[in-house]
Amino acid sequence: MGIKFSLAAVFGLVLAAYFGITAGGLYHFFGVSVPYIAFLLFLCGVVFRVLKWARSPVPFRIPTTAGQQKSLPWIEHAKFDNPSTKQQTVVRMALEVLLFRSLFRNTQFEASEGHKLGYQQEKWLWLGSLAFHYCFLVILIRHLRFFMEPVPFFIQGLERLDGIMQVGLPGIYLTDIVFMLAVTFLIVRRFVIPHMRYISLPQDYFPLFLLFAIGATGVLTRYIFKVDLIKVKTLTMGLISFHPVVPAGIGVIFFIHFLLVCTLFAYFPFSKLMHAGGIFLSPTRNVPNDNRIRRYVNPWNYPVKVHTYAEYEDHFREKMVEAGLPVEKELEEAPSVTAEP
Amino acid sequence: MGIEHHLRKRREEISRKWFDLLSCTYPEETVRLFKKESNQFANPVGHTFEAAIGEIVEEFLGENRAEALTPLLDKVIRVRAVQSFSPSAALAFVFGLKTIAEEVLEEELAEGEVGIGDLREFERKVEGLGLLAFDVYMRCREDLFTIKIEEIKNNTRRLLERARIIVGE
Amino acid sequence: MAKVPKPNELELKYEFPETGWMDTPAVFRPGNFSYPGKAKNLKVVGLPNPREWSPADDDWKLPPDWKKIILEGLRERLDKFRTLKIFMDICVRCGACADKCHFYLGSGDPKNMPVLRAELLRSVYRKEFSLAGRIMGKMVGARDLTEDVIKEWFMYFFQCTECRRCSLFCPYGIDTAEITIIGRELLNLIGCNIDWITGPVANCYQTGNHLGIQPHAFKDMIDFFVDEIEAVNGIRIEPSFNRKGAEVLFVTPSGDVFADPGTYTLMGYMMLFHEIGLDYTWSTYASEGGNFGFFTSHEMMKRLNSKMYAEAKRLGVKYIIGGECGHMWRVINQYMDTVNGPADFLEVPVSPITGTRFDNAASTRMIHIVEFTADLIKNGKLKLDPSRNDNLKVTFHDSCNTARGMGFFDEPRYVIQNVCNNFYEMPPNTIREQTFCCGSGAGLNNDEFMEMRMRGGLPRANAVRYVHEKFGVNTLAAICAIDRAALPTLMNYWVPDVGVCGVHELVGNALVMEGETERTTDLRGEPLPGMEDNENEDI
Ligand code: HEM
Ligand code: SF4
Ligand code: SF4
Repeated sequence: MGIKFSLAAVFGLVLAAYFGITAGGLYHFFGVSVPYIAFLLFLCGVVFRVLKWARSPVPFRIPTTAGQQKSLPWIEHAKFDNPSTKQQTVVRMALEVLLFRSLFRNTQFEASEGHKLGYQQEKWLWLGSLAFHYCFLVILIRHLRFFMEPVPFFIQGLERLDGIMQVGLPGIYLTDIVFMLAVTFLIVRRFVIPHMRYISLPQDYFPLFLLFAIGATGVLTRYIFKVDLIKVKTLTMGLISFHPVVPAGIGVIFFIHFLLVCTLFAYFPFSKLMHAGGIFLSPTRNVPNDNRIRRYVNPWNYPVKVHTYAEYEDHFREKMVEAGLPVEKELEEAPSVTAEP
Repeated sequence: MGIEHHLRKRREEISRKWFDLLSCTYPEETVRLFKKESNQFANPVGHTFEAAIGEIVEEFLGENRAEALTPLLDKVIRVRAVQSFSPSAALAFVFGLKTIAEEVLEEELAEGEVGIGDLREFERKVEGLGLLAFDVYMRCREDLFTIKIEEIKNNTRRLLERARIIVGE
Repeated sequence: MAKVPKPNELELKYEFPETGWMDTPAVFRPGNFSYPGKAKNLKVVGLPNPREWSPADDDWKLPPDWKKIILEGLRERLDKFRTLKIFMDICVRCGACADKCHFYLGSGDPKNMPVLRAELLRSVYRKEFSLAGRIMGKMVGARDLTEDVIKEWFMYFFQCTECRRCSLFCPYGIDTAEITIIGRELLNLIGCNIDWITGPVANCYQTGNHLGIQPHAFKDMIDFFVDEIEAVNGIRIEPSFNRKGAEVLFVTPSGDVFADPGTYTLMGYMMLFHEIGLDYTWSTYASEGGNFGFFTSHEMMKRLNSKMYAEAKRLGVKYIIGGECGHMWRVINQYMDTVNGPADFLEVPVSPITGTRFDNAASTRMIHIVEFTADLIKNGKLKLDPSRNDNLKVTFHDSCNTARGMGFFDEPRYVIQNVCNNFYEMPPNTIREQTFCCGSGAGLNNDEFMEMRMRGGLPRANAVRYVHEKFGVNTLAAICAIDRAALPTLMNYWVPDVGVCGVHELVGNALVMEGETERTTDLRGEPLPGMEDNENEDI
């Protein structure tokens, strides 16, 4: 059900753009209004989300410790798995964000006797998502050339590196291929692994289908329909300079691609895709394990009812005296309150 | 002797089918874990089952000694005895061997290499295995009760030893 | 009348619900749930809605406005805990944590996958706190809060040992243990809790320890061990209680005082302190290191924990040493100073024997006895005869809390390797930060929950069996009182030839004390290696 629903939603978007352009001629709407709205939603949504998270305080410092703590000087400290200072925590976070360290933990397979490699699927998850994210990043950066004039040298360099295979015309980008493969992998995983199917919700399928569709239309735009990129750039430059124009003659496939991308941006802040921001705020990762060294203050720490020593002694004084335990008040000083509570 | 001879040749197939049968008493998500995850520590149940089933088949089709089979059956049944199965559901897999034997020997049966009488004889043997499994199951459950009591005693052993200081509620 | 099913029909009885997990209600069967908290214990500590009830009943006697209480409780906690808020929002259901939970591995019940355990709460969160959830409902994994949901929470939040193994593997560090902790807090608001937690909580609050042992009896128990130790090596130890002006306050879980085999560990502590001449005192008021309040709510954790600092202040000690315990140490390491600090009336711990300053406890001012002992050994201050432990082949179980809530790995190993000659590690994906839970943590070590515990402990037991078969390991050492209570049971069921001990029991055995008579037995009264023949005077 979730699969069908998500698939239908993505198809709906494609059709909306197709008919909107071909039948409705809504060039301005799809070329100007939608991207502005989407971008606004994205920006406000992300800011809103992050502020909403940040508004909740972090009462306790509870990092998940993944290595030896800082202890006696002669015991080797696992600095980056169990950081005790801010700097070390920054490294830990960098490992998480750049290399998906925690996911990688899965892949520590060992060749146990007579058995194949353990942990195969998990290793693929790490590799697949890492490939996906880096390709996504590269593709995003490559797209910046539509928004900059002149195109900065690093983007040109990146394009050259990415197109190193030099097949076809225009040259195929490696990241396009890997991106599509990785997204396909992430989708297939959810289809075929029973427990993945069991836990997956529509909002898990939807972004994947959307990404797949974005990739596919992007590829079509570039390699098959060969949309006029000069005109596209006129459009995008117009958008960011707030003098939007929609040049005539851009193929409809571009508008489909564009709508899907806008949807992704608009959807981003309201979905699990916010994990991108969440990880930076995740209290089991982004703080050092230094509670015993430096006191951590809970902003809403409040006094609680405790059972004080005085109450305790009042309760047990007779027995304590009898057993020879020292007491604060001797028996004769204190009123006898040895009744049961 | 005839039928065992034929079955022994198909040991691996039988083990595999029997393991599948055992696995499909678990939810689908879990079956995958049992079957795919080959690291024995990441997949203790599946690994235990797989190893034990092979050994049981080996012994059962070989010498079929009760004292050798008991510890082997124990490996599987000890797990099932603490999972949420009724006793009958926990042990039903044993009888699955009958069906498996019939399936595996389809050709031989059709060609008359193995007679119906042989098959009946084998089935009786499986029933014997079932009875043995029942003993094992009961022992596991008894262990469970004994350890419960043992644990309760341990938790306050020193207090009991010092009976005179036991405090009233 | 139903026909008797044939075996093959029985086999396939486990039908996997086509409808998905939301529509699969929790079924309470003996062995898969813990008994509910008793009204009288709830009253002692003022927990809401005390009543007599049972999870197996249809009617849980919830308060009439239970729904409002839960939703307001959830809202309040979302505003108080960034963890909760973020963990509710960012899970991508990638499944990396799914097969990391020992309960899932041992039971195969999909709702024991950490991600689904969290979804139990998340689904309600979506419905009540997100627009999409309110509009689209089930379509986006949102569902109404009903009594069945409460029952499901009760079932699965009390089937999680808060071990954090799942959190280790999650790319965002989503900590299902934290979700369980908060889930249990919510359940406590409407009086749904378990006896094995509320009982000890009430006792600990009122009397000072889990078993409710009164001060004179506590002293008497310790005195009893004085005799036991004297019988082993002729040394008479003189412990002191509630003594003002001592340098150190020593706090350990009360399990060490009353429950075997923890008691032998306790004897180890006492022998060690005596031998180095440590100026320390016991307290009958703070006679519990463990903190079952942590399994109830953050507030209850603070209420019970307060005794340690309060007592240290009253007695005027310089610092505190804590015994071998798991969740006690998670509380000390990650919460104590924050909730009940600052401990400015204490001093930064300095070992009086070696002069080592424990800067890693500069603020909390409480050190772990194993750190303390490791430092003594490193500085050559102890005379040890590890051959007295030669009949033991030892492996070490990292307790979840000291592993993933502290990172306490090499200190205990260092100590063990200095007091034993035979030490073997279990396979790497079952120890240190990846350690498997004993299956009985977080207040679940009660006997009515036995079957579930045996399932949950299977991954741990399986790794022990491996070293038992491969190296002949016969002893499982642990630095946790719950482990010492629960692992013997687990071993009895899965690997009957393996015994369980604390690290300081091994220390006590190996420690050569000044003026001691020749030992013929270990602390348990078993003959020492090479002494098997003169086993005639039994103690
Ligand atoms: C910083 C650390 C990050 C980690 C550890 C991480 C991890 C993951 C993982 C494991 C998945 C796979 C989910 C699946 O199986 O479906 C995923 C999906 C995704 N991530 Fe990230 N991610 C990170 C940052 C980012 C960033 C910065 C973006 C930026 C735009 C991003 C965008 C996405 C998208 C679009 C998907 C695919 C949608 C989906 O799978 O539902 N992620 N991420
Ligand atoms: S590993 Fe983390 S993100 Fe992945 S399913 Fe589990 S809790 Fe969710
Ligand atoms: S904290 Fe431990 S018991 Fe709880 S879900 Fe995670 S792995 Fe399972």
